[in-house]
Amino acid sequence: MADGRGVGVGDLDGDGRLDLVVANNNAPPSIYVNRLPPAGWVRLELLGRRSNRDAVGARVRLTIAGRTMTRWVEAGSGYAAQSAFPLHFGLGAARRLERLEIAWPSGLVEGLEGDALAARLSLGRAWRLEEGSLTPRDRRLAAVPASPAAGGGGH
Amino acid sequence: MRDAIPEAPATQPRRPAWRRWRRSGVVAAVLLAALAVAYHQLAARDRQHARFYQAGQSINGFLGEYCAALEAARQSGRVDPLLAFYHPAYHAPGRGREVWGESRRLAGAEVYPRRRSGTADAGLDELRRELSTYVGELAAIDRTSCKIDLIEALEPGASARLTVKRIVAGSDHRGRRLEDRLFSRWQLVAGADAAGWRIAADRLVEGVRVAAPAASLVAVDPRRLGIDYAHQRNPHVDMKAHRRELKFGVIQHAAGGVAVADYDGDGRPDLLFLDGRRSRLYRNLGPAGGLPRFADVTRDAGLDGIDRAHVGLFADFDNDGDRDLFVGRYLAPNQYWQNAGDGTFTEIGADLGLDLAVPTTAATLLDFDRDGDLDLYLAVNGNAFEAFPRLPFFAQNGEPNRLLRNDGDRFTDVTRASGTGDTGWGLATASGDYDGDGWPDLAVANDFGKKCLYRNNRDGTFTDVAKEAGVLDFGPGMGVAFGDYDGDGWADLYTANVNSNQRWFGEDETVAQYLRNVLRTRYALADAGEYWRVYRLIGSRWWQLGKQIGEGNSLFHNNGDGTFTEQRDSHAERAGWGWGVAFFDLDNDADVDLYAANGWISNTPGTDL
Repeated sequence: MADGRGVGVGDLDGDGRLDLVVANNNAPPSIYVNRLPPAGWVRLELLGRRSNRDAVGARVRLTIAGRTMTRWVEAGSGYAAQSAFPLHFGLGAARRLERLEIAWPSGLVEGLEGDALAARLSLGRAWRLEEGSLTPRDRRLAAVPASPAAGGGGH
Repeated sequence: MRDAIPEAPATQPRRPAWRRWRRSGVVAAVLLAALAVAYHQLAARDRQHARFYQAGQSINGFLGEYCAALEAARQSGRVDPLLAFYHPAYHAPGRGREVWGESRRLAGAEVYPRRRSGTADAGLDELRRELSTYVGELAAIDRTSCKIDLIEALEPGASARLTVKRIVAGSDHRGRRLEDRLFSRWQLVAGADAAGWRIAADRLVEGVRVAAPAASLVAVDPRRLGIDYAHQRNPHVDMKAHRRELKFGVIQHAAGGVAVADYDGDGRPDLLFLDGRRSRLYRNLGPAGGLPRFADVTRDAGLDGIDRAHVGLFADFDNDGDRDLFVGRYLAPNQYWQNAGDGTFTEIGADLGLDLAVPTTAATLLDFDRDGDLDLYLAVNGNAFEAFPRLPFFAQNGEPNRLLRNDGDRFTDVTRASGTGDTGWGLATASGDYDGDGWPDLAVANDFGKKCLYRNNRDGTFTDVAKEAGVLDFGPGMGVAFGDYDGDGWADLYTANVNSNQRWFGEDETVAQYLRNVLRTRYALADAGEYWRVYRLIGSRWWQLGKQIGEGNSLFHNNGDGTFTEQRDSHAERAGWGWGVAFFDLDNDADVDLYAANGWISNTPGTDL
């Protein structure tokens, strides 16, 4: 096995499964393409307005089938490594998002649930969410789809 | 008027000179005798340690040959070469038979526990049958590793009792990928030939087999993806060129950073490899033929010639809608590459006050003051030309880590004011809100030192709470990551430590020898204060440090009250020599999995990793 150092994660081929890049010392990198059986997923890329633009530090809670997953936007962890910014949520067999809550670094906490959420975010694709766009006053901005290229597995 | 000053006592008559000399002579003689005894004791302990160490080395050699014989047995279909490692009088009372238990499914893989069946004694015949069955299951062996886990008893040249860890990776006859991890307790006796050992008895402690379909996480030759890159070491810390000047040559092995980030905003993650000679940026062109495709755009992006680099982070530091790049370099000015918005970059680190030339090894971004822009925290190692890490488990003679506050047109060094200048030999850092107060905290893993957990005090300062939080972990840290592995909403902490999976390196004998060696150096006194700090941090458990250092990766469960509990039973601990680590959902099952640079460990609801 090669001498692995930094580990970076991202969906390199846009198929909804996270791939792995391992930087090796004094050798070519190891790249692992994920071919595990497909399952549901959704990906969120947060855009800060009052918060820093990449929303580093934001906490996102997504509830499916009665379970809540928590993820944080981060930049730089592990060993000298950065993973792709968008937060990737595997959904297993769940077909419906129940609740989404975003706590932005600015302090704003906003969210959507139930039908409103289901109407905004369909599964199996990447979405860009701008800070403040989920608040009732500004809902028309909610859940702008990422550019077609970012949709990846949405095809 | 105050009391009269008491009269000074009459001076004692001086003792005759010969009496004083006699007394000094006695003291000197006693001291000399004590020194002689101490020296003798030290020398005896040295010899004892040397025997221990040599025995350990010879056992490891024996294990290496055992592994090779396993492959030979698979190829020939005969287990005789393997049986030669067992004593002719092999007898394992109450050992039972080793069998695979019922499997459970895990992330597209089958996981079989290795179990002991029955409590019958076993002799060579039973062993032959069991080994034949095991070897017969393997269609191919790709990789083996047989190492000492822990030496429990040792009589050099005569016998040893130890736990051993065997890892066998290969495939079975159904084409599935296999990885077996077997821990056993072996009783060894010295063989007829002076150097050799033989297994006199053995018993399984625990074991597991992961069998995955051939197509799961598929290693693809990077060249097939358009990535013609191989990491090159920094020539400035090349041992060959600098044999005399370099005090800490290991640093050349440390580099190997990677950034996965969409630098051009097209929604596809691009790749930046940080390099000792020439870092490289690969743009993601979108998939073709079922594989991702990349093109080298280093030159087009204006990023050609970034050498001595350890870490690179893309982020929109100036909040102008595109991602800029910070590059942390080893004893060379760090760089800030501003994105012009069209995917080209210009270096303006000096203008922003980021051109610090320190041994930067890792970095993380956080908005610690929550003013809406990203600040930068650097993990800083020691200067390999001037120093080597004193006190391997508590080295404090590295250069301070740095916290650089983004003030818009400048980055201001607020290390001192914020209290984040840990002087361990920093190798990794991560930012996360472990206490859930909305203010980002910091974790630092030091090579040759304790971990730090800096709690954000919400006023621009941090407090190292590693001890109170229960994450001190003296192991040689090489990676650190936050993530909620159990879905309770709190950020857990994973640290990867160097661990050759040989806890015996850290046994009392070895630690005692280390301390004896230290006593002989001029650093004994210089470091006395550090020993005292170690003692204050961990009290009388100090003698267990060696074992802790050797134990490897640690998964700390966040208790939600500001403290963590180390998950000792987790297989994560067993993952071995680790550098990078990442929490992410590999199999889209809604649980985060944990990947350490030496293999991935899946996570399933309701169980330990």
